[in-house]
Amino acid sequence: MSTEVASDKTQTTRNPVKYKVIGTRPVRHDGADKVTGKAIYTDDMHLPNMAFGAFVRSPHAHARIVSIDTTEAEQMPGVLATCTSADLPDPWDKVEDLGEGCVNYAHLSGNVLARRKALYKGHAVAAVVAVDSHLAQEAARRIKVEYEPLPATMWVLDAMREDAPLVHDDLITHTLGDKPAQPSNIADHIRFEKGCIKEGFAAADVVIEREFKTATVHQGYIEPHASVAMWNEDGRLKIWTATQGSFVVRQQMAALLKIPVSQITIVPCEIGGGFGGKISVYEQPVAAVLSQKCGRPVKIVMRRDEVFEATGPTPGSFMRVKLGATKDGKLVAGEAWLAYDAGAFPGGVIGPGCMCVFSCYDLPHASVDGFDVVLNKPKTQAYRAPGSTHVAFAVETIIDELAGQLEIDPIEFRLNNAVREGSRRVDGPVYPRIGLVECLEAVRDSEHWKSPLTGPNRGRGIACGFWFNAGLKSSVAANVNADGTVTLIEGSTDIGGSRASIAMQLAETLGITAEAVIPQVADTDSVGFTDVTGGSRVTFSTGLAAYKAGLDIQGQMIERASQIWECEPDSVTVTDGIYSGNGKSLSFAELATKADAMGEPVVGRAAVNPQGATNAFGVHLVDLEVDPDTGKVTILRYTACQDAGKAIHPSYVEGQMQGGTAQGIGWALNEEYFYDSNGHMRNASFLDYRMPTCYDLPMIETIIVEVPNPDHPFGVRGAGEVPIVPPPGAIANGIFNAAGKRLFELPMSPPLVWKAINEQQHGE
Amino acid sequence: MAIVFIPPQMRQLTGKPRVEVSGGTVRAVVEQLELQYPGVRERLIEEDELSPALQLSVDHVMTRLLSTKIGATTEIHFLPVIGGG
Repeated sequence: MSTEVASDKTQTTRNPVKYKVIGTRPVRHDGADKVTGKAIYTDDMHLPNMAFGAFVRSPHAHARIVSIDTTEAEQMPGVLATCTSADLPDPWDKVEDLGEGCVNYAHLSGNVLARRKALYKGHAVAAVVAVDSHLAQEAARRIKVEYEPLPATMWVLDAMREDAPLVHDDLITHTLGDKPAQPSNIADHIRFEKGCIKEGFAAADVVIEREFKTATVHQGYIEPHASVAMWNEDGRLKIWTATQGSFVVRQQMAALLKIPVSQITIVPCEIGGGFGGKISVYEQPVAAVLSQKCGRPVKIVMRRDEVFEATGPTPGSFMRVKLGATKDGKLVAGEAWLAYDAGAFPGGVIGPGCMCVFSCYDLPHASVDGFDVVLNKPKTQAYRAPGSTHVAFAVETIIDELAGQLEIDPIEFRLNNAVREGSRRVDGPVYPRIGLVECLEAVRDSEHWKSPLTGPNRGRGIACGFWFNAGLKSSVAANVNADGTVTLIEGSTDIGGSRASIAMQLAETLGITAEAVIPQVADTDSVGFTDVTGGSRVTFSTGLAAYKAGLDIQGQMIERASQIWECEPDSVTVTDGIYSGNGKSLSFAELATKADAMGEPVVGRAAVNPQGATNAFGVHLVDLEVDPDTGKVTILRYTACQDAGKAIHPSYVEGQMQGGTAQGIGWALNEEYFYDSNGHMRNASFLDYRMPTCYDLPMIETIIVEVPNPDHPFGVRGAGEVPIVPPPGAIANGIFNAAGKRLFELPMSPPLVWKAINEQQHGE
Repeated sequence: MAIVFIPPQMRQLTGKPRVEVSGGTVRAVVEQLELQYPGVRERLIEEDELSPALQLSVDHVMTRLLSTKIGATTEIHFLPVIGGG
């Protein structure tokens, strides 16, 4: 047999493979449901006899729980049951790998419902279920909790002090070195070294060291966390929920409730955004326990203030970064000291922060120290390229300052020092084929870069960004229908158009149209284990599974063709979905119809756990204007450039780039958790937590660079996370260019910008 | 022979940043390291598996499997786990 499936394995961006489906822009398969409001989100679920849950949350940022009295609430007509941490099994003190990161189940259980202490304002302490949601909210107010308030710590450097109030009395710093004897709020200390920084800085002609602060920010997904749980009398538990990973929810539920995974079915509903914030469980175990106690399905939908105060934002940080360069523009050394807040439980994003801080530049000498620090804020979670945006803000600011001092064009300076294939990262591994240089060249050659920027108070900024891509496990099954279509069953929840990008890879493999593939996201009983939709991995990894399932189908179809034409399978050829043999030909659809009538169904399957997920880079360019009277920064023009390896559906790659950029701009200019002196968030609504809207931003221009990933048949790299990384650095550099003032703190909100300009004008 | 890049915080055990060790798999390499530099194992392994706080880079490919095969000039790095958004 001879088959032809186009492959990008050895191609470059200048010699692209010609595909029939990949690279086109078909209408997304779930588009009609989404734009007509027919898509089923969790809050759309209505089951017979369904009841409604509500939480009781701590009003204190740190407090000992003296007692919880549920009597009055339980006596209210219509109230069905209450729940506290006493209703959850004693948690395993066990750390388990969730594919993307790990979780300590004792900490997770304590975050779902507080045990002994409330560790942040909004920490769930109890819950109640009633026949309607209003009654449940009222009943929650009648659960009496007695607290003994404790001193709270809200800033990462305060929490690291030896005399800081301890969030956990028994937390010993995890380190690969000697463990300290005494508990502290420092959960983890990571250190990397490359070369000798003393020698490196000694060789530098210019050395710049700066300190940076960033605020806690939230992913800001539009759909609040929501679940419906139904615990049946036979012991089986079914949960409809908004999640980035149905199997990971099943894994967490099994561990927290101590029941086998086989008794749990997770049905992933459509999801209104996640960005890393919908991987951990919050309300799901509570809904399950309440369902078990009242014998009814139970729905819990968080309010927006609960989402802000009690789910997982991404951390605030303090960073001290130092870079040295020679006068001919070569970076020779870098040093970083990073402290990220983990929130109330260990396990923040300091690891990737340390790995990303110098990821764009080839430094012969570098060292990084990173600290994961617990304090009295909600447990932090990932947010698109977790940990990378913080450090890119710091490094890209100093890179720009170095280029300025050395009077070297900022793109040329970056090109002089950019990592490329063979560069060794500060954490050790060596880069495979990557596309940072190509991105910098694409921006340098862009119409935007070549256009003059004129006018007062206007400036231009540029910055680079990096993120890893994950591989992890994915499974698909593909059923060939008698009409020549293929139903694709996948376990990856679709957040950003991955139904289309996965279906298109199957269509390309089979030589059929994208519309001939019908992708379905299945529940955990209906498809093989699939890791989370996160880590920029789905189009790469689940797409690889679809490609392999396509090859499986193709092999079976060749067998059928050989039976029909009474020839050997090896003599059947396949080109662009046309099967030929013994002087005859059939299209895929014609062969599917015949195959349906002559034997067992044709079903393709594949399960993968690929290791070659590679890395992705982006370069952003911004023009902005600073209002000297108010400090407001207006984005005038923005170009995001990114190496996507191969853009399967360019519109969705562009959408990821634009969406990530918009979030990065919000992080740069406006977004932050405002805490008062009591550790209470004072802006827990979208009215006061200022995310950019279409009124704030110009159309974000995109440049897709394609340096194929050699470890994927179509060359795919992940696209979803990199675009949030460069905006704060690019905007900070643009503000300097416009106003002559460097800013070292996020958000660069109007008061901060105005103050900096004002200080400068008064020579302070 | 594997080239193991020793994490900086463990170099007090080995006295050097890189160690060449024989072994067919990462697990065998760690056991060999433990023989030469006692104390290495307990920092890397929990319940007979790689510590959940760590991942491996084996010839620049990320994995968590101690059963990963080692080639003639394989590089091994012990890195923090990462999660994506």
